[in-house]
Amino acid sequence: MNKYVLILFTAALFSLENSAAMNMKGGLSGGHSGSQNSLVPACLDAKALPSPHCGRVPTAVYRQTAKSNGALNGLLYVVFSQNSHIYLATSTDQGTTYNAPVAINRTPEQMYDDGENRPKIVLGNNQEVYVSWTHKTNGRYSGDVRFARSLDAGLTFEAPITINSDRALISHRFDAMKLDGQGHLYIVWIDKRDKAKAESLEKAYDGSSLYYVVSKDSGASFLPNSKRVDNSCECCRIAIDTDNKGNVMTLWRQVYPGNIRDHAIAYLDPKANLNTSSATENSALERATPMRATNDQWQIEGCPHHGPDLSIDNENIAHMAWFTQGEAHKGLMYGQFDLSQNKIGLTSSIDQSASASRPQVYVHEKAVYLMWKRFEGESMALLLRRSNDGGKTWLADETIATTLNGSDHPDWLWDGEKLFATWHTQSEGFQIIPLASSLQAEP
Amino acid sequence: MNLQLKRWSRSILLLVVLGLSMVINASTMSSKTTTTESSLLKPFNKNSLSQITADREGQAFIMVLWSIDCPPCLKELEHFQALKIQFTKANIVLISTDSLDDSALIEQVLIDHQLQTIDSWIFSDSIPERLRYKIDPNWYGELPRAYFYETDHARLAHSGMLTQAQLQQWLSKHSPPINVKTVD
Repeated sequence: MNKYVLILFTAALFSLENSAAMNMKGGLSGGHSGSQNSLVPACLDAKALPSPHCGRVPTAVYRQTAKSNGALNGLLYVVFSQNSHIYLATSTDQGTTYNAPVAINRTPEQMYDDGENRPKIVLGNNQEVYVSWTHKTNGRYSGDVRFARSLDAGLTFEAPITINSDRALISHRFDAMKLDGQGHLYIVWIDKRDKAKAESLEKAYDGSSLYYVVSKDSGASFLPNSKRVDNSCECCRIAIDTDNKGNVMTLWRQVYPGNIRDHAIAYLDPKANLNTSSATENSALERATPMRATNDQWQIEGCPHHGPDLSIDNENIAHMAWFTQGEAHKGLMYGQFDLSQNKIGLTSSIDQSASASRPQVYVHEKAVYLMWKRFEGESMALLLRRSNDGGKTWLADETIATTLNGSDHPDWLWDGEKLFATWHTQSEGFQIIPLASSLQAEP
Repeated sequence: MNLQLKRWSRSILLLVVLGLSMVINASTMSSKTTTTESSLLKPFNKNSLSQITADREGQAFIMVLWSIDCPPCLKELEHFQALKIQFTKANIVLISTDSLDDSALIEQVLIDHQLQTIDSWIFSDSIPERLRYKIDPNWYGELPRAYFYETDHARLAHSGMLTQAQLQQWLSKHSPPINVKTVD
């Protein structure tokens, strides 16, 4: 009996050892890369130049320069990541062809280049081009916020600088950037310095915090880092826009008590655009408090990596799109927040299906546009929905693109007159999709 | 002394029973799996769910979806680690929804939790939504996510972290009887 037991025991051990050895070998060969690399034929050529089609997470803005014979004259700017560089490519024919791209960071560096954490581009009022991104530092989830500017419409860039003053190898990521009405440049990001400090004191700290900087000299220098709020969610992008007076507003996922991860909206800089009378001190105080913008009651331990979008209209209604799995709402949501009265307004479901994701919102006068991705069994579809009455009623959904392989988050491109959708897909490259005239805002 | 001996014989017997079931499982599994790579992680593609269920025909099992970016998933792995002597290649399947780029990290996490003998997969598709859809068109992708398969493969979905008690309950109901008390 004992002998039998021993033989079996040895056999079991051998089998374990054997599989451990196999596993070790597998571990060494693990780590495939480039699963989301471009499949566009021109990009498969090893000698292919960097381009918005071949690179990752291209992000576009448009500068309207002049009109001649009713035709639009302007320049399309696209930043994207490729081979550890952020590049800027410009196009005079709305993305049909691109000029040779400019490497913004001349020294290569690791960077975050996924849909949720991508390079940002903002155009100044003259020839300035501002670009920010997150440099991947050593350690999981670690990063530094980087910034570079051009004063000659993107022909040349000054050397990049690091924006976060805390240089610990922790998270300073998910940068968002916006100019306010006075031409001051704001950058806000998710920062773990307060969490790290709390942990070193063995104190609990939910989520991360939001920090921001402002430059009042076109990006030549920045005022010191300021903390905006504690307990933001750790890895959802921050949405940013200006209100009807030019104040920068941010919308982000916040960790409310009990690990409820709904959204908050706030003036990024409570003291901006206010003069020094005592009445405005109250306003500044009032503005300092973030407001609850969505009430879904989503309790989740962990970050869903699915941040909101924001677009503010002339009447100071913030139009918002977001994802939730809360008690109150599930799926993709559209909602309004009245910034004049500080209260939540209309709230409606965009798409409750489990395969819908990445909602975007854009408002122009009374027209509100929603765009999102939905996997439909075989292909990924990009859907568009429009309202002509400020979000009260909606026209039928339209599928504006589909793809059979991987795809980036979709985004908007406003050329000063018309709205476009932009979408980078593995198979098709970077597409600038004109919205059908039936979907354009009425004159 | 007598008590210690008893304990010792109990643990040896327990190990033997488990070792035996592992050997049996390993041999039945290897004949069916088509993966030739000796990696800890098998790529989970649109056909993998059929393979996982075919490999476990007539058997109850738990299929767990997890990610290294999900703190409760990592806590859940600790529960699997605590109960690992009761888990075999047959009665549990781990599927990481991370990208193939993160394979090395994921393998390390599995090794750290001593779960390298568990049948483990990793999402491998340019459209991860396709895999979610194949697994369950009604799953939003929230993690951790578990599916409890009965022997007829009727299944029950569960979102959120499983407690050790829940797992223990399932194991007592579905595992081959390992009743230490009867050893004497």
